[in-house]
Amino acid sequence: MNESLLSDRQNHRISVFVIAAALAFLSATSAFAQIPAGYKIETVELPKGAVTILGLCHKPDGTLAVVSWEGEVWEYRDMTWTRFAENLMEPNGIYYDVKEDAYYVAQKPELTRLVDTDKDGICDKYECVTDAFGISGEYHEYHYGPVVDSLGRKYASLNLAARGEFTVPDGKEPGKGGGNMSYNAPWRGWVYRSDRPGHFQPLANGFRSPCGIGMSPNDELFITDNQGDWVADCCMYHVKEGNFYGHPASLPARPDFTKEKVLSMTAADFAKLRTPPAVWFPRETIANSPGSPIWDTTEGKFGPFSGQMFLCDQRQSNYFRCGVETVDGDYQGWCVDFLRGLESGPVKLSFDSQGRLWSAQVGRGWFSVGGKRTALQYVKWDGETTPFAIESTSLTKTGFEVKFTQPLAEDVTPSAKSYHYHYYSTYGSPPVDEKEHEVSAMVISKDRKSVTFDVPLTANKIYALQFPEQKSTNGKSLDFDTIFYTANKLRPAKEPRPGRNVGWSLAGSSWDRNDKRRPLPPIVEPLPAGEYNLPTPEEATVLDAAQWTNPDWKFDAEGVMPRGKGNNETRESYGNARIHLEFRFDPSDDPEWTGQLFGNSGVFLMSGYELQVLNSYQNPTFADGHCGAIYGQHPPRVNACRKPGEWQSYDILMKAPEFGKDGSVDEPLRATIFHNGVLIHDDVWVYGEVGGPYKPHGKRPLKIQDHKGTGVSFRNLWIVPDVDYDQSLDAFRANFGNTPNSFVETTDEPKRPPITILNPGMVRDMDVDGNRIITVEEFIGYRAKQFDPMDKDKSGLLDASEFPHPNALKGGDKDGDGKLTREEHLGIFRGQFPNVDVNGDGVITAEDKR
Amino acid sequence: MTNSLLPKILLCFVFAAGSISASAQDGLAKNDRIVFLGDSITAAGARPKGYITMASEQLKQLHPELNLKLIGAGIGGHKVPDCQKRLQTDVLDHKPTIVFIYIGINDVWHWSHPKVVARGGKGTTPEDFESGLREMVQKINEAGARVILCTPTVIAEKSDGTNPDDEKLDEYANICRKVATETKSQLLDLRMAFITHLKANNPQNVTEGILTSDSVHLNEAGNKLVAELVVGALIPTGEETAATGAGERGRTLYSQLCFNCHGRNLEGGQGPALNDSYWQHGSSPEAILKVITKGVPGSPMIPYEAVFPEEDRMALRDFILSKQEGLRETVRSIYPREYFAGNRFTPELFNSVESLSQTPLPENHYYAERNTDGILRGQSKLYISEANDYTFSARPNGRTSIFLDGVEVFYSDEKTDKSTHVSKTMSLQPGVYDLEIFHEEKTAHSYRFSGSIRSKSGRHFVLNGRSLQGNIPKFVRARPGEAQVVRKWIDGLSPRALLCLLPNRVIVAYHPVDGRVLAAWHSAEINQTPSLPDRSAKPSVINGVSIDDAGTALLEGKQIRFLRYEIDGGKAVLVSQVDGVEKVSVISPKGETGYTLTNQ
Repeated sequence: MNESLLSDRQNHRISVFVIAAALAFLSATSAFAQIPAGYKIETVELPKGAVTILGLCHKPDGTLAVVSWEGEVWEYRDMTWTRFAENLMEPNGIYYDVKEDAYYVAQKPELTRLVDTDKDGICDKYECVTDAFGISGEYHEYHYGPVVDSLGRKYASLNLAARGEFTVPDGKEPGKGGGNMSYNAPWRGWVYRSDRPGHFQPLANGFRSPCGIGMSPNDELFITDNQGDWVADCCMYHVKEGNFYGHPASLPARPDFTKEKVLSMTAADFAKLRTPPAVWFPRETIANSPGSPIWDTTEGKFGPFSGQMFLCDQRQSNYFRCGVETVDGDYQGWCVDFLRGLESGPVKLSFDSQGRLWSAQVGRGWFSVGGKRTALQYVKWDGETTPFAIESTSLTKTGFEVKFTQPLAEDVTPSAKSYHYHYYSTYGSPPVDEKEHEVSAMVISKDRKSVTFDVPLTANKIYALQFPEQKSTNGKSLDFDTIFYTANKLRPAKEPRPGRNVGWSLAGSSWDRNDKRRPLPPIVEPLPAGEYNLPTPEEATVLDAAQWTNPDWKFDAEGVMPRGKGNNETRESYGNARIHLEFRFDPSDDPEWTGQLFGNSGVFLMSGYELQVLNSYQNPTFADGHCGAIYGQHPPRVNACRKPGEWQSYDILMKAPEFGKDGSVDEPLRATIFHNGVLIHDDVWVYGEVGGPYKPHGKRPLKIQDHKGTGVSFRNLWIVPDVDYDQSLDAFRANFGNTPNSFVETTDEPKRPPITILNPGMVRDMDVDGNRIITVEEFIGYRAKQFDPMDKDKSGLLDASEFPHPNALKGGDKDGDGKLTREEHLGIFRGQFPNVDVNGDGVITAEDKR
Repeated sequence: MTNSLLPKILLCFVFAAGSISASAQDGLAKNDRIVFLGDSITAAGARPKGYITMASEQLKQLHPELNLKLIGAGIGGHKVPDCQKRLQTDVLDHKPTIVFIYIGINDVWHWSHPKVVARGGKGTTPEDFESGLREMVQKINEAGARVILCTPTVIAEKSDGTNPDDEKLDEYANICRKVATETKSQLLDLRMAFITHLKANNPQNVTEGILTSDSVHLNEAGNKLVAELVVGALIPTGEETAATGAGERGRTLYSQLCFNCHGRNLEGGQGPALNDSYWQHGSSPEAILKVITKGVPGSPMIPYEAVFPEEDRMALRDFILSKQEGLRETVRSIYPREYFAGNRFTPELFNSVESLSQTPLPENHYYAERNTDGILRGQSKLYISEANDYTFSARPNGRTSIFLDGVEVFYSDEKTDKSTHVSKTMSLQPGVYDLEIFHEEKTAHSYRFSGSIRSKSGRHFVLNGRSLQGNIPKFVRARPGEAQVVRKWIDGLSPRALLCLLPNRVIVAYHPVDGRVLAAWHSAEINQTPSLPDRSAKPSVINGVSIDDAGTALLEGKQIRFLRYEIDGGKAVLVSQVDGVEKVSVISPKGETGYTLTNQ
């Protein structure tokens, strides 16, 4: 009796202890969650089974669609889940196209359109939109997207491989804390655009792991990347066509680079080429693996941050906010944490029609603070509470202006700190040159919602602006008291004049018309004339003297027609066509006649769409006014010009624009163009006429332009009218040795089976080139690397405490001093190699089995 | 020295094996003559590609030595009374040893079939149906043959129970079940098998085309399914046919119905495996019985309480339990460290303290969550199916005790000699034991507990593993009548490969850019389990028999651009543009182990 009483009492004591421990645990969890006032996180149960979601999107009817790592598309409607599609390969993002009533998903090897033709709610047609990028089969070759611009074009990004043969160390601190990413196949590390099924246009490169991709309401493309080699920290780039963003492994895809050239370059060389991130996301504080940005277009339904950019982070299980502003012609901006405490790692965001911000969350593969393997959650605002938060910041000429959502109480005591990052091949960079700055000349606005102050400013720095223990007038504290500003540039005395407002013509490229900063096309060798000059087809109309209307343009006895006064157009009108013409610039060394005045003319397709004719051989000009440019819109992919005095050619296949009954553009003009046998436009869309947006029209004459400047002549012009563009495209390309997949190297060779005789971790560390063959050098090399870390006392010798394998030590210790030299240490493993190389062929492969 | 432990808990089935000889219901004998009595379905069943023909072929392959003869005795439009009239001539005169009675469709249908009703015809009343069946069974038994009584299949294939004749068919099927039970005849519950199949394979709720061509008569898939069920009814599941007598009923039921989804040897199929290391709904006898009884909402696993009496459901449970090995019913608890410092681990000590958490694990092994701070207590049932000598071992990390039926069989801590982390040898009899593991180590990030149980004969149960939450072992397998095109990362194959999985279990790996067949397998499935665990970057695997077709060019041309794929019933349709011209390629099943490629 007594005993049992005693034990009861004991149990009671223990229970109290346990409850206390449990409470401590709970409060630890809530410390992690930081949710601004007025906001709430809600969780939606996912369908049963293995569903690890990677992306989501909303349909206008309110249906939510998610894609899963396991390869399925699920629809969530009226609180129930139905499976729409299955058997896809790790789709990493989904977009719903209202007009087509179809989904687009980025599977690892293909951008795919999913169509439910019989409208039974289950996909029955899996269409390849594009698979024209390389894939070697390395696990990390992710494919993210798509996002879509106002013209309906799809953008997606391609991860580098984590292992492979082409990495770019800079020789300084190679591979510290993580391997270098590898370029195993074409267009890895790029973002591309696909205008329609079958179309693939690489846009910009230099990305490492571009998991986040977003299209702003103004058709500006943003990519977020993850810290690693050549990427100092998590960040977001404003992507402009043709730019390089920093990771050099992807450069060999450019025609002006080779792998050898990239390896011969230094970090300083790459630094000159690269465009820095518009916003850095400080690691651990804001993000470790940022997801896709989204713009708050809810018009206030999601609270007081309308128009701002929202992002999320897979590791931090948070949402954060971001904004950019133009400083000296480029975007740069700020980020501030917004909400923490999600269940798993958010990677993609979507607003529903009620203004709730949903996220697809995954903790598979990489740990997320939230802890769960996957989750689907949304955050909603109560419609009235304005949380006290840092709203945004902006760079002034002498410091910063910081805005708040509510008036500030007395005692505003900001502090400022700056630092920058290394740009090198080491995994991530610590903050460099951290400095605390004195804050001066502080002015608080009348409504007390805005503060300006001066801070000593330096370009290429990140500024952390902190408001410790700041209270609002109604006594609230900030959830997050620090805003980070990326100051790539300082405010110039005078902001450069913005480019011409030509939104109609440049959607998606993010460049202004005639922007002088736009990268010039890389210079390549034209094909030798014999390899691409085709005989005139029988069905062609030869555009001889009789076909032209301007009498000032005259053919000479050799059939050469110099540029005359006034434009010259054909008698006949044309629509779809296959066109050939040749041109030659008069040589000139007059310094007055350079740039746009050196041999300027133009081929006006259907009288309105200009293919620029200009000498671009050692005569730089702005990119979209270059020889071969669709003037003001598309620079040519490459500069394949010949010298003035030599004959050059254009081969054009074009499809006339199609207009709806109301005059709207159903499909813009499409063109594929070769210059001297080199592809310079691959099935591009022309955004409008050279002088303005599209106006409906039918067939129109072909026109050649008169322009001030040095002379230019034409010959051998012919046109095949009314060709079927789509049917002819492949054959047209093939004339010049180009096939749709010609840029896809054969990287699909079956791999060797994996090595099983060693454990997977050892294989990973030893098989440095990932070819599933371990040579003696690789086997020994791995061990050699272990010597220094094991040699704790740095004596150059391993003693029994440093090498706790008595028998091996005894066997390897040739000189009998009880210690191992470097050579003796390696000797042990050299001796072991034959035991692992069972079949004795000198290498360890899958064939070696116990 | 041998430490012998007497198991405290033994499930009845283990020792209940009475007679070693097979029951009269079971198995096949030499020169068996098997007659199929039925209606138009059975008449068609005797034709080429009919279910009797298929079953006959399969049986000949399985047991060529038995010289079996399968005889069709189906006549279109026949009902029970018609069969009674011709029982002597069409059945008994064949001197059968086994008779399948597969009747009932017309007995029901003729009550509502417009043409029959129009000419004044009628169905059979339930009373006449029952008495007619009884009479036939009796006569057949008297003639020295046994009956396998089938329930009528379907009149329309909607899977949600809304076919007009469903209610009546169920009533007649229940009569069959009752007659079978009461006459001690074997039941082949075709109707239940059809309903289960349709729930899984008729998501669009169509009335025909899944197993039937016209809502009643069997199409190829239907004939195939019935053939499998017939073979299943004739050949009992499992190899150790009669070693466990009380499992008999359970095994019979299993081989009539459950194997359709869970595999002939519980290895899984459309439904989860029942002998592996993951139990979504619990592995305890109660949990298993509950799933059988109540079903799993939203899945093809329907509540079987309406179908089987409780004793049959329990028999099924016991049959499933008899196939278990290793750890089951695992529960992981975490206890605060403080209380145990300096104390030897015993179950009693743990029972006196409240745990921080207690989690039943669906896996049959232990793992700790990240940042677990506390002592792990694992409790489970250990199923031993083979009498043998066993040892327990654990890697010496921290302090570990293992108790078997309350007796400590293993202990190690920092002071223990590292070479003696293996327990003494114990001889264990088949049965179920209580296993408890206590483990403490310093690291707070993750446990490195690692242990296993081994027998002399090489049986090996691992005590630790990784969480399989969200990683239910998963296969992509052929579906009857429907091809699939799968993209999966398979080691050694191009990641672009389209894996065309045909209904005959042939997989053709096709490279959409090259237009070539990369490889093909028959009797194949895709096992994607290796790719599922959390940090896994491992590829999936194709299990199957290689067909030596690699390199066959499906398309030839300078430029091949892949456009799309679609599924057309059992065929995969791949569309490409070859030199500017659209080409349609069709990969279709051929026989049991082949495929054909055609270009249009």
